[in-house]
Amino acid sequence: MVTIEHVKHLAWLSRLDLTNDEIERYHIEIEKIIGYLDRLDSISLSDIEPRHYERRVSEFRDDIIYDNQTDLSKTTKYSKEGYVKGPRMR
Amino acid sequence: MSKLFTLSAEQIISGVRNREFTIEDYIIQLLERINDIDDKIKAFITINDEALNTARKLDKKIKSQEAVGSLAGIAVGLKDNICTKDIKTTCASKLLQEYIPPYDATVVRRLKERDAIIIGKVNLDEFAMGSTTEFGSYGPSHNPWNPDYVVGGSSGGSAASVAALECTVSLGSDTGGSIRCPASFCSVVGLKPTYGLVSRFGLVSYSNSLEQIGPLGRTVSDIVMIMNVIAGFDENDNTTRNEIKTPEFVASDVKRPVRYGLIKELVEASDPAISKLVYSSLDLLSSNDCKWEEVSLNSDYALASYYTIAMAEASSNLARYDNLRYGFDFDPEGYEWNSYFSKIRNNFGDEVKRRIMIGSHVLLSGYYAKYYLKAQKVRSILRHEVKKLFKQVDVLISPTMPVLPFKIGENIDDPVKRYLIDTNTVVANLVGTPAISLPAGFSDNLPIGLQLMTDEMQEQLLFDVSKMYESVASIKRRPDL
Amino acid sequence: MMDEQVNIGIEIHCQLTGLQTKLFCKCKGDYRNELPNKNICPICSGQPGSMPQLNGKAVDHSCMIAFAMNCIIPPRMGFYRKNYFYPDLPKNYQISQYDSGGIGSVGYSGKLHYGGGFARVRRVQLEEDPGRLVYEGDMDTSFYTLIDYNRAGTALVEIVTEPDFKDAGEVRTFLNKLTSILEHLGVCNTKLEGSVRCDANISIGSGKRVEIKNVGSFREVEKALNFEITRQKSLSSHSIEVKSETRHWDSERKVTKQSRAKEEEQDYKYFPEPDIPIILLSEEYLSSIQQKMPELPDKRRNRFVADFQLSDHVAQVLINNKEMADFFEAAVQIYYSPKEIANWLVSDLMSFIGNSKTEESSIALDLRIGPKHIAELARLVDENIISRHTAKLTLSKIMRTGQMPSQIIRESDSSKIHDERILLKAVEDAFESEKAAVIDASSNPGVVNFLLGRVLKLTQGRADPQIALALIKNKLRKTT
Repeated sequence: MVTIEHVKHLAWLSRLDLTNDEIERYHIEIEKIIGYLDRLDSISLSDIEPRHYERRVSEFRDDIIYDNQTDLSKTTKYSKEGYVKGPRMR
Repeated sequence: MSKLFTLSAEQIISGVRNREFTIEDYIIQLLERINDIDDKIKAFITINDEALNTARKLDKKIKSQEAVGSLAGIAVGLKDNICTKDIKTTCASKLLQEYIPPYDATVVRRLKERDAIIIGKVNLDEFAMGSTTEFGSYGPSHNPWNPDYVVGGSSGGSAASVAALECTVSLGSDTGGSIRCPASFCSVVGLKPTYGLVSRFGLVSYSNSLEQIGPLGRTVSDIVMIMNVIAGFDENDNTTRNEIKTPEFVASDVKRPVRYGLIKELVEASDPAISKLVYSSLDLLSSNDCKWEEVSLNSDYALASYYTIAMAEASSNLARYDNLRYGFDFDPEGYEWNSYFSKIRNNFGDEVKRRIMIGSHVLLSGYYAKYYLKAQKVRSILRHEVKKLFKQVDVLISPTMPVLPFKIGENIDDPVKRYLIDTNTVVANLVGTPAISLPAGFSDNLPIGLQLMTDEMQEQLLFDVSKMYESVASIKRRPDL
Repeated sequence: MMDEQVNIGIEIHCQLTGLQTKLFCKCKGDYRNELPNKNICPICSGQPGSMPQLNGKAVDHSCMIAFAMNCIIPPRMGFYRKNYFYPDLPKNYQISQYDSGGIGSVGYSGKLHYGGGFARVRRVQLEEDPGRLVYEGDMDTSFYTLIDYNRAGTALVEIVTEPDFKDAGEVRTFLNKLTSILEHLGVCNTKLEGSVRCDANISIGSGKRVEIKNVGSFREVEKALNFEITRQKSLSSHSIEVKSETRHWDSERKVTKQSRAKEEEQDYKYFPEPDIPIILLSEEYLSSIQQKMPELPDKRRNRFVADFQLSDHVAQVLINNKEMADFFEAAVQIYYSPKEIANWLVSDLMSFIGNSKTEESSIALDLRIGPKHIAELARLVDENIISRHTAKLTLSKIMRTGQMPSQIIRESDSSKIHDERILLKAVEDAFESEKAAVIDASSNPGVVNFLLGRVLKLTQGRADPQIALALIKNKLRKTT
C-alpha cells in the first residue's frame, strides 16, 4: 500500500514541487508500478554474486595533471565575480 | 547525382573517394531533405549549422589530395542525450533546453577524428525514459512508415531519421531496448553493443549499469563501419573493457554454421503477425546450413529487475539538475535552497518525475534489500541462465517487440502496460550481452524487427549472422516520403 | 553524576594533499590560491554525461593510511553513492565508501596506540570533497549564496574511531600522533589551511550522544571538546537532560552552538557506484605498498633511540615534527654527533620555531638554517674551538643571516682563548673583584664555578673553560 503521504515524502526526497493534481495522478500510477515491482519478493536473497567488473589498481589512471578547464560562465546563468550564484541557505 | 540521400554509408564513402560527388553536394541534399519532410517526422531537435562548412573544408582537402578520415562524407545524427561541444544538447528536457556542453562525448570525438559530419541532434523521450519518443519536451516523433504511429523509443529520432533518409547513420542509446525498439518500429538496423564496449563518457546518464551507445543504420555494413570507429577502450570511462583497444570488425559474406535458439516464451507472447514472421525468418535461416531449436528463458522477473535498477540509478543521476551550473533562466536570489531546487525540478516531465520518485523509493534503507538487492540477484540469475543457453546455441532469436507499432497517444494511460513492451529487449541490458534488431518484414505496412543476441564480446559472430540474415531476408523497402 | 564516564569518538577528514590531482579527475588537487571556479573540469563540475576517473595513487595513499592505523585491508573494495541535495555538491551525490554486501572501505578494525593508551579505528575510507559555499556578509541575512567548485572532487580520507577517548587531552594526543603519521607518510600536510576537519561525538555516562561537526583544525578540537564536556556536565548537574543533537563549533566565540536547521533523519540511499568497477587489492599490491611506505614515526623513534642512543624523550620530540626529524638525520649524515645535534635542535632550535607565528612555519624557509649549519656548530663545540656559550650566541646570528658558523666566528673573532697568559690575567682580575668569594672558597666548593663564570664574563665567553678552571683551581690552592 503506497499512501499519498508516502508519495509526498518521495516528492520531497526527490526535490519535486508537485501540484496537488500531480500528486493524485502519480499516486495511482506509482502504486501500480510498485505493485508490479513487488513480484521481486519471491526472489530469495541468498548467494548474490559480487559485482561483475573488477580492476587492479594499476589499471586506473596516473596522478598526472591535465588541464581540461571548464568555463562555467558559459553554462551558468547567474554568477558573481566568478562564483556561481545560488539560493540562500536559510 | 540526385537522391544522394538514398545511398548507404559505404556508397557515400566510395562515391566521395571516387569524386562522383562532393561532400557538400551530399550535405546540401540532406539538409534539403530534412527541410522537406522533417515537419512530418519531427526527428530533429537541432540542425548543426556548421555542417556545411565542415563539408566544404573536407572537400578542399580532398581536392588538394590531402588525407581525410575514413568516415569522410558520412552524416551522423546524434541522439540529443549525447554531449556535443558547442552544439545544444537538451535530452528533450526543459531542464537542459539551453545547455551547450563544454566538451564532446568520446564517441563524438572519435567520429570527428575520422571526419564524419554531425548533421544534427535528434529527438528522444526525455532523458531517454520511454519506449515511444512521445514524452520529450519537443513532442513526439512520427513513424516514417505511417506518421500517425509511434517511432518507438527512446532513440526514436535516431531510427526515424535513418529510415526517412535524413542522415546516413545515427547514434542512439539503449538502456532497456531504446535502440532496438525504434529500429524495429522503423525498419532499420539497430545495435546495442556488449556492455563496456563503447564509451559512455558524454552520454547523459539515465542508468549507468544498463546502458550503451550504439549505431543505427540502413545496412549491417554501415553498423560495422561505425562500430569500428566508436568501440574500444576509453580511459575516460572506467567501465569500458580493455580487451579491445582498436576494433577490427568486418562485414563479410562469410557463411558459417550457426545454432540458433528461439526463445519460445517471447514468441508465444507476441502478436500473431509477429510470431508468424519470426517462424518464416527461421525457415530462411535454416536453409543456409544452420539449425534452430526452441529454448526456454524465464524472464518473469527481468522487467521488474530492469525497472528497479534503472529507476534507482536514474533518481541519483538526475539529482544534479538544480539549475545552478547549467539550466535555464531562473534567478535563485531570494529563494530558500530546498524550495528553489523543488521548483526548478518540477519542470521535468511526468514520466521522468515518476521514475525519479520510484527510484528514490527502492533505494530507501528500509526498501533497499526488498527491491534493489533482489533486482541485482535476478540479474545474476539471468546471467547464469543466458550463459547456459550459449553453451547450447550460438545465437538467441526473438522478435524485437511483442507488438506492432501503435498509434501516437494510444498507450499513455497504463504505465505497466507500456513497460511490458520492453520485455523482449531488457534481458540483453541486464546481462550485458550484445543484441541487434534487423528489419524482418511488415504487417499492414507496419515494420517488424527480428532480434538476435550473442554472448558478450561476440560482436563479430553477431555481425556475420546479421549479414547472412540480411542477404536472405532482403527487406529493401523504403518509406513513401 | 559529575564523575560519570566521558565517551568520545572522532571522525577525521584529511585531504590527500600529497596527490597532484583530484580523486576522480585530472584537475590540480591543490585548489588554494585559485580564483573561484578556475580549477574545474566537466567531471568535478558535474556536467551532464561526465564520468569519474579514479586516481590510482589515491588508492595507494589510502592503503598506506589504513596500514598505519593497523587496519584490516580487504581483498576488494568499491565505491558507493551517498545521495543528498546540497548546493556545494556538483552532482547532488558524493562518491564515497560504505560497508555493505561484503564490499566496503579501504580498511577496518584498526587500532592506534598513542601516549599511554590506544583507540580502535572503525574504518578508513576514501571519498571526494564537496565545493565551498561563500557568503557576502552574514549567512543569515544574505539573499543568495556564492558557490566555488574548485575544491570539489579533492581526495579525502575519512578515519572513524570508536568512542574510546575519555577526555579531550587524550584526543589531542591522538591527533598529534595522527599528524605525525600523516606527515611521515607524506599523504597529508596538516599545516595547510582546510586540509583536516574533525567531527566528534560525546556522551557522558548513559546520557545521549551529541555530535560536534566541522571543527576546522586539530588545535581547535581540544577546546571544542572541553567546552562541550563542561556544557553537558553542567546540564546534568542541574538535572537537565542532555539532548541528542548536532552542534557546530563556533571558533570565534569558542562555544558549541545548536545547529540551526532541524536536520531530518537523512536517508542517503546508498548504492554501489555503477561507473567505477570493484578495485582488487591483491596481496602483491598490498605488500608492495608496505615496502614502499615511508618509515612510520614510532619505528623511526625506536631507531633514533637504538642507533643514535638518544633518550626516548628527545627522540619523541624530534619525531613529533617530521621536519625536525629529517633535519636531524641530515645533520648527522654530515657530522656524526647525534646527541650533540639532537640537543641543539631540541633545546635551542625548537624554541625559535615555537615563537614563529604562522602555522606554515618551516625551519628551512623561516629560519634560514639548514642541517649543515647545525652540523658545523656541533663540530666546533666538540672540537673545543668555541665554547657552548659562544655557540649559542652564534646560533641566533646564523638564523638572522644564514651564514655558516665558521664564517661568523672568523668575522667576529670569537674563537676560544687558549692562551694561558691572557686567561691568567682574567683569572687574576676575577680574584681581585671577588675577594669575598675567594675567602669562602675553602668551605664552599661552588665558588669555583662562580669564579669561572666571572672569567667567562670578562673574556666575553671566549675563555676555554677547562684551561680557565685549571688556572682558577691552581690559584686557589696557592692562595689558601
